[in-house]
Amino acid sequence: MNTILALKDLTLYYRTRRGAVKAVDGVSFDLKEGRCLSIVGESGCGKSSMAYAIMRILPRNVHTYRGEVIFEGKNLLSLQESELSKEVWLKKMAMVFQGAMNSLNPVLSVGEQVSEVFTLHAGMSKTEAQKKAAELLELVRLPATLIDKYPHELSGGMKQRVVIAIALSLKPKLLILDEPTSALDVITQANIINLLKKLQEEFNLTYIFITHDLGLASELSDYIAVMYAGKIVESGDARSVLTDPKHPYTQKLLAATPKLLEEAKLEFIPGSPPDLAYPPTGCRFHPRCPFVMDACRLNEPKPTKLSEDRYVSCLLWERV
Amino acid sequence: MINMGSAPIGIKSVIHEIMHSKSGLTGVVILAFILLTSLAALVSPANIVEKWNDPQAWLDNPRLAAPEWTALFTGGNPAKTIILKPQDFKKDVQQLQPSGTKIELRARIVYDYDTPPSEMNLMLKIAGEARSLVTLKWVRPDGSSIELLREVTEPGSRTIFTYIDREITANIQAYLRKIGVADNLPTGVTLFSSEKSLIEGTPKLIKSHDVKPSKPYELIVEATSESKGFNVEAQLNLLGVVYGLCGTDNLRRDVFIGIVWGAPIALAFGLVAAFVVTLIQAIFGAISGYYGSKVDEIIQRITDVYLVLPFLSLLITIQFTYKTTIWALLIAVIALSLFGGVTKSVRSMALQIREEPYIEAAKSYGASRRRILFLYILPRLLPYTFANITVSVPAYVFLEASLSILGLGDPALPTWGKLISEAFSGGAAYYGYWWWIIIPSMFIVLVSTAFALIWYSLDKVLNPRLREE
Amino acid sequence: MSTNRLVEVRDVRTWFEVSRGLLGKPLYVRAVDGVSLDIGRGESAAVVGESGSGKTTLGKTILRLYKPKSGEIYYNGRRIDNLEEEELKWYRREAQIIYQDPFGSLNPFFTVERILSEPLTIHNIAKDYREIKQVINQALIDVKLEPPEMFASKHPHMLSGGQRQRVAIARALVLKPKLIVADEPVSMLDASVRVEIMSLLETLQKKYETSILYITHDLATIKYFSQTLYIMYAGKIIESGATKDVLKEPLHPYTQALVSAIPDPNPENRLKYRDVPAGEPPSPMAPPSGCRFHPRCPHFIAGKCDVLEPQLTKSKNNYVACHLYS
Repeated sequence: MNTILALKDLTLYYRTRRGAVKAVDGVSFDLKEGRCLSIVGESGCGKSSMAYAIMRILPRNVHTYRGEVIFEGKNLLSLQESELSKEVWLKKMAMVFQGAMNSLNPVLSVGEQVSEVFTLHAGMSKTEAQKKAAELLELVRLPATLIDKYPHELSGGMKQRVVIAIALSLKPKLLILDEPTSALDVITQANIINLLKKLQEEFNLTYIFITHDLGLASELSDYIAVMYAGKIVESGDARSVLTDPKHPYTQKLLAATPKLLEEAKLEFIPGSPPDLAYPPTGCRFHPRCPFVMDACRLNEPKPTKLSEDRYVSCLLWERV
Repeated sequence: MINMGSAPIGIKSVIHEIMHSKSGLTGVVILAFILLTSLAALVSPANIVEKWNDPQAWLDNPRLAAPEWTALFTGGNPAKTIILKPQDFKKDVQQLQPSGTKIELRARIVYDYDTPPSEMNLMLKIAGEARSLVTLKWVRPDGSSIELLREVTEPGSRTIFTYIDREITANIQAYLRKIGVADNLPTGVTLFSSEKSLIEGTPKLIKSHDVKPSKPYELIVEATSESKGFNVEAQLNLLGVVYGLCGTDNLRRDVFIGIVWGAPIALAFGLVAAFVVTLIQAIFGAISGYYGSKVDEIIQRITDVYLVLPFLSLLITIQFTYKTTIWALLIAVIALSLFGGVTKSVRSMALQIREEPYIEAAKSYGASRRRILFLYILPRLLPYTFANITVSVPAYVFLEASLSILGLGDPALPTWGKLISEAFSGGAAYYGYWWWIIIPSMFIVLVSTAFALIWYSLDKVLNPRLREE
Repeated sequence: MSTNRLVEVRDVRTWFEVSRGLLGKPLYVRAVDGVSLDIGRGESAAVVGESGSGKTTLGKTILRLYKPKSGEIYYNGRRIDNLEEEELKWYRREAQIIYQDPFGSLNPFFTVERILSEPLTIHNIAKDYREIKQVINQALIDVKLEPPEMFASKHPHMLSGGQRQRVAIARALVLKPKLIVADEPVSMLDASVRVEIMSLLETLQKKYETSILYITHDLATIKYFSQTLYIMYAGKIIESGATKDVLKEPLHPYTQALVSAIPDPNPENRLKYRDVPAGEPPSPMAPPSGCRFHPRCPHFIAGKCDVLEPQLTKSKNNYVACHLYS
């Protein structure tokens, strides 16, 4: 299995009135083709920014953007913007943005929007594009009658399927999904996850799945990376991270996740996530960590390799 | 990001936004300048209106004089006003034999301007019980002289307008014929040109310093009378061609004073009208949007009627029929604007705010509708209302000015629009007395610009998308 | 009417009119379409359903923020469904609401002190400013916003989401109500904060002996905090019972679907597909005939489920409205 995506020291800071917001701060990992990596973290930890950093979809107020995003051998940061939009976006990597289902164009019908991708980016004629659009809708298990309907006539689940269809229209290899089910009901959410699983099987897609819900992450992930305050604090295969978490934050997050089928006691993490403009010194989790030591306030922990593909950034493990 | 919401827009942040943007600051500076001029008006003597409408109060000013600074553009040194008060005359009293008194008043005028004065007027005050013989003699720096007047006159005050007095004109014509020149030269030119240049046929103004050593012009007033208690006092006005910062109008009034006195009126009218109208419309809009159903219907239909009303035509009709004062006009304007565009836009804002959870929450802990309207909804609408006030002030200033220009404004008050109206009817456009029209117009535009600049700086506050984030 | 139950809801319908212009017949959104339930004193209960099920409307109808079209609601034995707004001021002291959106539910122009003192001022509770301050300080201490003086002077936008929700809780408690309806109180908060807020609510509820009705779609969280569960679908209650019983042995196919749809953090999850019905909940304007779940039900019985509407009947420990059990 080859590595389809490798991040090396990826960094993204935003420029704001309060100073530099360190949204993504030196993130590295490798992702193998056909696998799904979940980036799990609470709101404000920088996980959405991570997605933008990987795709190189940047806003105007960028303070720092450096590192390497090596996709199929090429570093995306070294490409021209025109190369990115012509060759990479939608064709190699695609993204389903948070709340995308609400950003569908309300004045175009579903059929028009889906075929637009083909006419604009694949140079197809209108009839060809329409045919492709119908095929695509079938792929995401939507009835063909939806072609003439407008977004406001669709339910949330249907809209999300349309968005996924558009993302997959030009057959990208990597799909980044940012909280794709956050506004959906539980049963609809399960249906969308089922769809994503099916599509991954059918097309050997690679997913990066961004969520705050560990339970949801466990549905799809082969790997889980836990993100806190712009840094990845723990990563590894899903089984290991979920059943034997090493970082105190992961442990606490797991304990704070309600479990329907188990009788476990619920805990919570006192305090709140830090302001990314002024993150704490040393280890960013130290103000809330139950195992905090003096060194944690001064030294930022580096990722410690525990085993193949298993890392944790915590001074407790650094000594070993 | 952690802090999901940004600070709500309150009056404090509105003011902060104004003061920190270039346009807003400029607008405020201009406004401050105009406010200062208004203050100057308010601390000056109280009988503005009477004084403005009394031509006697302005006799010491030239008529239709351009502003003094125009000299920078036309070059040269045009005549400014010189006023010689009684104490500036050298007085010589002689007792005659066998009876009678001869009083000689001598005025020395150092004259170095390039043009003759626009008028030369002598105010004579003769005290006494019997008639007196008065002669006026005019001496130029080159030594030549003209006898302007010799006549018998009763005691009392009189003003002799040298340029148009019949006797003097006749005497000057006689003088011109005597020196062998055509007698149709204007008096001013005759009096102030050297005799030599007159004879040569090319009149050239002679200045005091054209002669070495410099010599003044002289006016010698001689009055002889037998009466008891005989006394003569004189004031000589050599009125300039230019005057003051803004020139004068056809009634000799200083346009600058007109501007200064017009400033508080323009501002007051604009601000009061804008403030009251916008506030009333906003309150109706909020009530309409928040209460909904029947109340909403009624208010919206009334608003529709108001929007269709021909506002200006009605005002013109009212003014033409009743010729009201400016304050009655203000009330009429407000009455005709109780409902309007602001009602509609505030209504839609209120409709949105009504849906916010904290409004329903207030209902859940027992807040009455009136309480919610005034304490929860209206404060939220204040910044928008404030911006609306700002943008409508110029409209009302213009409205008042327009009505005044049409001659339908306050009949007595010296408003800027009135100045322009009088300028037009005084032929300013035709004769070229540009300062009389342009300067008041410029001030109206200045006030509008100030408010427009302030309103422009508020755009960021009102349009959340232009803000950062 | 027996008065050991604090709230009794009998066959309540809350419909919203969607007008069709001058000529069309009026259409209704039948948000709550025949619901009965009871809430005991000091009890914690939860109405669980997806969006469009009518659960929020039910909660707000009980609070009389909406007026029911038909049915009866009793509070402490007193009928409140037929009262007009002016006659309900006393009820506004007894029953309070906590909203889902911690930012939208607090007036952004008010300080925390003002937000908390408004209900007191409206009901003329405290005698003077000093007493109001006392009540407010106690409320802030209750929700662990300490020191209270520091928080009292802040505006909502200066607080984090969790802190704002605490203020909302404090506001709900300041009148010492007997009933609180909490509409998705933690769904907009971070995962690590949710448990803290829910625990806080539970502690305060016990301290002040308040009944609390949660409105939520999050079965996993509510399992820890409510004693009774009402499952709602398309405007009707389709299953109810003690939380333990409903979750351990869900009877209605929809409840079963809900329980099986929620993922726990289990690495085995990625190896299988979830067995959930396809489709979406029906439109509240045109509910299906008979049992409203029949178009999606894996146990659909033709001729019965699409014709006859099942009633709530007791089966094992729960009440369930399904033809499989009648």
